[in-house]
Amino acid sequence: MAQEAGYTPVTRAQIAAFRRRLAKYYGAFFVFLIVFTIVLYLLERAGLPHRFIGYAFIFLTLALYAFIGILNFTRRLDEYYVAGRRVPAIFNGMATGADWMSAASFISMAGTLWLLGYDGLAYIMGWTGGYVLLALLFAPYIRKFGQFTIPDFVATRYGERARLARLVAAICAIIVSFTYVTAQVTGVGIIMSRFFGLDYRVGVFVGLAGVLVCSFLGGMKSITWTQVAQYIILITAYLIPVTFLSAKLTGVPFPQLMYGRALSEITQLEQAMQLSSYVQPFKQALSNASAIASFKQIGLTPPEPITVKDWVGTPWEFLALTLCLMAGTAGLPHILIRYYTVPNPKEARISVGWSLFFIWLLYVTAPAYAAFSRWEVLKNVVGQPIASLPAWTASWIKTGLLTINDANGDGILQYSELRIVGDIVVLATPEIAGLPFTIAALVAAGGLAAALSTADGLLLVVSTAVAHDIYAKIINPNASYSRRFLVSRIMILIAAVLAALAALPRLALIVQIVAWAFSLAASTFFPVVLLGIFWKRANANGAIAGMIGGLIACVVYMVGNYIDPRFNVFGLSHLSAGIFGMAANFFLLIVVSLATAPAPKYIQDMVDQLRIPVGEMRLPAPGTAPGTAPGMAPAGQD
Amino acid sequence: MASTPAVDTARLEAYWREHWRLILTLLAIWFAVTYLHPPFAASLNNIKILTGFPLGYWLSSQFSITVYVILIFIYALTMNHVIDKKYGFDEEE
Repeated sequence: MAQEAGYTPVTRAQIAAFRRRLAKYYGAFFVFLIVFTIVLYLLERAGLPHRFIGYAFIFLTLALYAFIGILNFTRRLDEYYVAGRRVPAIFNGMATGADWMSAASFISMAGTLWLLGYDGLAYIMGWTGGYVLLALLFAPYIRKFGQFTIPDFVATRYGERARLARLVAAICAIIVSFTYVTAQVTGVGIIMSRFFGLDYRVGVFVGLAGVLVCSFLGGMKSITWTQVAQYIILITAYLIPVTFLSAKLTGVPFPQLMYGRALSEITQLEQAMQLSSYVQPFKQALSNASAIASFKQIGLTPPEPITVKDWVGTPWEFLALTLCLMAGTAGLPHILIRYYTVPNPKEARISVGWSLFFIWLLYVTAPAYAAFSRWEVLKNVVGQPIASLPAWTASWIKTGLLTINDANGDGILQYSELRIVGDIVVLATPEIAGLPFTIAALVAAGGLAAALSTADGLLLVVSTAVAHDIYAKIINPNASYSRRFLVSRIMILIAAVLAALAALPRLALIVQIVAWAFSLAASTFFPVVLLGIFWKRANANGAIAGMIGGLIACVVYMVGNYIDPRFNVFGLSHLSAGIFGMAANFFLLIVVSLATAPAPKYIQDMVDQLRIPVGEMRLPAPGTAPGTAPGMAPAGQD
Repeated sequence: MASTPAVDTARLEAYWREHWRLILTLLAIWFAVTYLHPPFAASLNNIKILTGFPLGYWLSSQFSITVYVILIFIYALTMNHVIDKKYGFDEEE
């Protein structure tokens, strides 16, 4: 068995040598990407049709992912689940960045800011601030625990009822991750159809193939090294167009600094047009518009339209949403497992810093996209004769992302006659900046990389929750390694096909569910993992009650408020339902733990060990500790 | 990596207290930059900084998130190079 499961210890010198070698490979890859883009640009000028440029980018990137996937084929469980625990901090940071930033971050983030103004910044702060909690309270301890999955952590820490705790945690992980992966597959289909004119359904299946080539053969090992490449593509593709746009509009190629000018121009234009201000906070009323749209799509009778304006102008929703997104970030299984893959807890601490730095690069730029394109629209589109709109508008009106309707028939476009779908903000920027099609194709490749990398990480969580947690640990603890691999790979295939089937009808509800995934993660995993690490008195009864109660409280508020916004506390929307789930989880976890017997001594010793940042965990062998279920061997030493 | 060394309780408790002091300080800063300015964003927006950013908008879109990155590196570097060393948790593996 040694060949399949032996754990290779890594020394500091080995990590450093490995890091240098990786830096060389990925540096060469970055240079290649730039040269490739320039060559295609020259070919474009020589008359190569746009269609072929688009295909060149899709095939190059998919071939690259497949190449990395095949190169990392593995027969070892620790490589398949946790990349052999030898990923250097900085590369794990890039992989986490790609794992984290999905199609939503890449395409929809800037659009959300365009539409919501200041209120959209709750996402920027929530999705970055969560990493502070992750670094200080989770990552080093998760690494120290040194298992394969998050249900592993829950089952080991709450070992008195290992099977039940594992089952509940595995089900929560599947619910959170599966809905999320469906949205990624939807994102792939949209990118394929918008940029390359492929049919949406064809796009979904091409994307699916792209996901499978990297996760199927090498599991976490190949996913990690693919994600690093995907991060490089996505960040390059994100930064180039807006840098050129900033240079064009302000003369200075630093969009993150120069969009201040765009904001003040926007404010003046808005005053002149008597629009509500973009930077004015807390403008959102509660409404059930999206519930109505979803109900209609599924074919149910939609609820009556209701709008609640009582809470406009109060900061509660903004603050609660920020907290939910932060706690959700720290509780999402596909992000937590990335910190199993670094060599030791000290690397885990630094690695979260790198993760957030790489994510920060995109998030500090997203508001610039929104501000520049809003400036362009208010200055050059609104108030212009419809006959002489800028050239870039024509192609986007065709896609339906931009709708103009001269309601009063005066031949001039008023702001109220314009309707914009948020995704256009990133997608149209290359054209607004007057960049060649090659750059637009690069942006599409970046969006594809963002969607695929997140889908990979999520699919692995779904498949391991079934293959490792439910099959190998609960149903058949004596399964051989080859059997476990077989089940893992079959599960990846099944989960990927199910996600594609769920993505085919393109339900609006799916995007909604992704926003909910954060509340669900905050209501289930966040309190249980946090108190599991920091509070010895927390026991299995408390954890199971907390997870179930948190899930129920969160779902009840979510569904109730989604359908009828009059059902609210302090004007909090369904997006912030995690506040209630989290509160219920903490309350039940504490009260039930105190009301029942403390965790056995060996578990309390385990919590003490967690605090020592050197050495692997010493866990009791299966069956020797009272109350441990069979098959409870520490995963890293299986 | 070798398995976790046995550590006497007094040393572990002192280490843990010092660790709490650090993370509570950092979490206090995290809390301040996340929750103290948004309620006043509307008034803060009247102040313009840098290239014309309304202050309230800038604090949320750039200041807070940059502080987050810095906080994590302060935590990681202090733990790895100061606190762990002081309590003897930095042996070369």
